[in-house]
Amino acid sequence: MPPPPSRPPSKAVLDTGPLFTGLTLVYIRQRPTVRDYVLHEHKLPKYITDPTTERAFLAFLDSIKEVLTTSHVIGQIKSRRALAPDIYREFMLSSMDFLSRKGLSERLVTLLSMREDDNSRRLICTVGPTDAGLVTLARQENCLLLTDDNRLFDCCDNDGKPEVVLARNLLSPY
Amino acid sequence: MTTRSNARKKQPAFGPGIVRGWFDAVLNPMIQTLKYEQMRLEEGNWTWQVPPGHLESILPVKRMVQPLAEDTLEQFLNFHPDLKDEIEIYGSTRVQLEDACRSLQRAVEESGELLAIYQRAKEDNSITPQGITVNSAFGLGQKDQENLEALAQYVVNRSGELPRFFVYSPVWNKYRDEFLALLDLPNINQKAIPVEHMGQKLLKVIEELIEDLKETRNELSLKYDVPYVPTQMI
Repeated sequence: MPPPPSRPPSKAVLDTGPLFTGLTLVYIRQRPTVRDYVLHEHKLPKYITDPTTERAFLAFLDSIKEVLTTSHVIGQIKSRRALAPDIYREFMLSSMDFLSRKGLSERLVTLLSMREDDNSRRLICTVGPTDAGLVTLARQENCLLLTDDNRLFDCCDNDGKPEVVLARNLLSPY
Repeated sequence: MTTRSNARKKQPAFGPGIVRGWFDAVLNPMIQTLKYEQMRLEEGNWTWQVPPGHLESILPVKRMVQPLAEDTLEQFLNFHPDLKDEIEIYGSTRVQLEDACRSLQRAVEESGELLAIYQRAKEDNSITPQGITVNSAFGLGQKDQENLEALAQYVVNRSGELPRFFVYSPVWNKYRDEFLALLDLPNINQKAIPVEHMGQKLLKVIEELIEDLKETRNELSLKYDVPYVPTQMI
């Protein structure tokens, strides 16, 4: 299992799982009164076991100066509408505010642009276009890709790029 | 002759529905949380956190269940007074550990030796393996007192190497041995011993509590034919 990144990343590509976890944690810290309700609808991953791992995860997010992701991932975040309308509104406002502070760079990695590249084309056919887009973006930006998805480990090139990090490994020493 | 009041007394005081509620709202969340706490304490991590000055992940029992389930917890404990006693012991031991950590925190924070290491670290602009200076950890606008508080907290928790993305990791990871050696100083050691003692005691209390909660859950499950977790959730 690869170790966590050796230095705090200046930028990172975030997959849907870690991004959604981060946005949820940020929101419930701002609105602790709705914590139980939100966590009932937005289940946290198993590696967030207690308040200490929550804080460590947020510390990692804080350390990223620039968050990158693809429009496909943002689309998935927007479509997770399990919350009541007023809470959902607050959640989205909180999320946009947070992502604005983190200098979110939302990139469109199109299917046809990936088709032009051998690796990306291979990835589309194995992990699908959304994950292939994340790997392609991380490789283009030469930065790490944070994910909850084991399958993406196999997606790096022979030169080990991009660096794929499982969120649960980040928290394993903590 | 069976009178109406006798008949009522013979009826079970609760049935499978109530047991289901106890499992979902009280027993399962408590056992899960206690297992995480056990894991932390086995690592020797008290999860002491300043601010605000509490055990961050060793929780009061009421925080192990959702606020709406507090009355369910009370109902469950009314039927299981032995567990109520154990939970009270857990609560008081937890508070004792918290108090001991607070006392140790103060002793470390106020020690001249901590200040001396801190002053050296503040001047240390050597480059870490991560390519940043050691003292960059102090360059985020914190006050000296905040830095000392944070470093003392890591001493109290006997923290291992910090992940690279933690603000204080450059300083802590370089000076960790020196920081932890503070625990051997006589005036600090006398505050560290009760922390260790209470931590070990709490670990034992938690182990017993988990055991007894699981035993109670098992008895209820078999008697009332209620699975630990609803099968549709699996």
